[in-house]
Amino acid sequence: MSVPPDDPADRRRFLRVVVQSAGGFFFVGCLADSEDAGSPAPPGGAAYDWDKFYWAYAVDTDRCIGCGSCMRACRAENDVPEGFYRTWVERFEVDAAEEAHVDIATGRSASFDRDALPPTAGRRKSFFVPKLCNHCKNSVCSQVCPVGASYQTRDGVVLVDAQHCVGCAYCVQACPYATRFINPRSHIADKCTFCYHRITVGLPPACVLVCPTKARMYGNLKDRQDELQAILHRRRYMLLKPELGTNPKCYYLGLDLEVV
Amino acid sequence: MADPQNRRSLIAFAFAAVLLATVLIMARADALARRPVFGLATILLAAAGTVVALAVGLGALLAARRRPGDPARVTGTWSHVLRLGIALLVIGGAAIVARAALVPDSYGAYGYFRGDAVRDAMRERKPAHQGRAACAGCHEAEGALHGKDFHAGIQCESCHGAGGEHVASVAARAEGKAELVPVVIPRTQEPCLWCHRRLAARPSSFPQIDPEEHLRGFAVADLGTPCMRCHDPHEPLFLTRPLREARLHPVIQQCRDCHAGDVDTAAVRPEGHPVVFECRYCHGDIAADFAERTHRALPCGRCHQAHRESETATRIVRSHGPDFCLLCHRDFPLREPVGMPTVAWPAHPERNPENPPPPLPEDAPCVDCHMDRIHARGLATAAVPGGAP
Repeated sequence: MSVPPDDPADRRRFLRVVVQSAGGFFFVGCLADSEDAGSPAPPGGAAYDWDKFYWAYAVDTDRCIGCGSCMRACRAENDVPEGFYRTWVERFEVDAAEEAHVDIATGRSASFDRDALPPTAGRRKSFFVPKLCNHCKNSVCSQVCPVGASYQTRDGVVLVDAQHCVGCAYCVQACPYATRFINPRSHIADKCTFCYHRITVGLPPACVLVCPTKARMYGNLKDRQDELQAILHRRRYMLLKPELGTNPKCYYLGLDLEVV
Repeated sequence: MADPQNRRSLIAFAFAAVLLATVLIMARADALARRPVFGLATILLAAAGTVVALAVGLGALLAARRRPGDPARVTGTWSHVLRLGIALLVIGGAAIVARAALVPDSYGAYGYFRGDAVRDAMRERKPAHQGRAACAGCHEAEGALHGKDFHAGIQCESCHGAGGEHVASVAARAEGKAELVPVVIPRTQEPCLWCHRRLAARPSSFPQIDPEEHLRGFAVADLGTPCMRCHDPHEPLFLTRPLREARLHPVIQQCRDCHAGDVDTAAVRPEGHPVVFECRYCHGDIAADFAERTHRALPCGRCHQAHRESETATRIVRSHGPDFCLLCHRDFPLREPVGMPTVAWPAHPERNPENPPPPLPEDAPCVDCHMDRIHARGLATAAVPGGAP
């Protein structure tokens, strides 16, 4: 085996080659990255330009009659397993001691069969509050997802990629509004999709469609003619847990302090 | 290999590998976010660090190969560098291949997620709820009837369930491919009570009933009687045909349906205000006749109980036996006299002993004999606008 002479010029040449090739790889890598980060066609094709939409939801708690139509419609529309809810209706009953009792409509019929408090409890006030995914602008659930399966679309809807989700339930714990669950059939995270398969073809979400008193509303915040914007400009509203900075896009009209 | 130079070279190369990975991740993140998350300066600094670490590692490696006493010569060949290079290339190549295989093509197209997932979500399922217009496309009569009533704003599918399969099966049946999938036809009280059961949490302006109280009020024995026996679900404001013939009454708007508290009915009503009906508008003959009779101090609604507990119909007491009249006229032991004639029931001792009437069943309506105390019969239908119901 021949021993190469320790020529300083050789060493310099070697180092030069190393540095140049490393730099070359680096810039080629950057170029390749910037190529696929251009502006790809919107996922909906020509029929639905998601850059023209920013979906938001509103609930008028004064109008809700607690009939559970939304819960039944959501279950039918999205094949939600029994015992789990993508949307639900909470009933608040405040007794004479100013203590709030909360329950939700359950079961297949999703209806309230009787008053929660006995007549002797001295009911102060009682009302219904529908709940669902708030589709936060600053969504905690998609931030904690370790595999990039939970994400927010450009039109403002928080979704779960069923192919990518590993069911770790990190998002279930992270959601401050308890709107997520692990689907017992698919074993992945499940949540309100804002009926993405409906709103992207111009249909209202199932819960909005069936609400008999129009307590549930939805709209496009990018459309100045939108009815929801008119309502939000006219009415006073509140958000759930605004102190968390999640910036929910579910606006509550007539919300009580008891509701969290 | 305990040579400190060897160890130093290993540490330097490991450091270089970590730095290189950092550079790649930062570059990728910036490219994905399409804005400088880490910034070019940081990335270039890390790249420079990589190069320096590599150089240090190489220097240490070369130093380790120096023979003691012959510092000017390299002892080994380039083979160790070659081995290291090959190992790095294999590991790096494996990482690139694995990444290409594991990361979906569309990942990062719109953000830190699989771009195709958005399209998947759009096509995840077909809309199950069709909307009222789709139903009315075939069921024209029901759609037209439904559109005229209070329930006009209610979706068909709120009661009949999502109609997607039903609609799809209509097309499939036309091609002879499948049977018709029927929609749900509710036959119980429950679907009505989803909305109309009386609950404290319901807004008080919303019509709601306690089903038991409602049915007892109408003297219906079977408390499970479906609402549809009396109310046409497509037109619940009016009662079903047999009951219309039994002279039950459609609801009419009263002041309190819209205004809270007591309303001064004499106050001037603004132009365009809906008419607030009074009984005499339609039943003028009866009202005039009633004003001559002993019961004239009572409002019509005392017996024809309209709007009691927001109920949507009036009833005509006659058809329900004697119980209602006995609420006021029964002779209870120890009852304070209230200034009206009372009767012991079912003894009815005031019956004329000289000329006893035929024996009465216990449920004989009082008004069969005593109607002259109230108002003449046979006037009602003649007075209803548009003739008999």
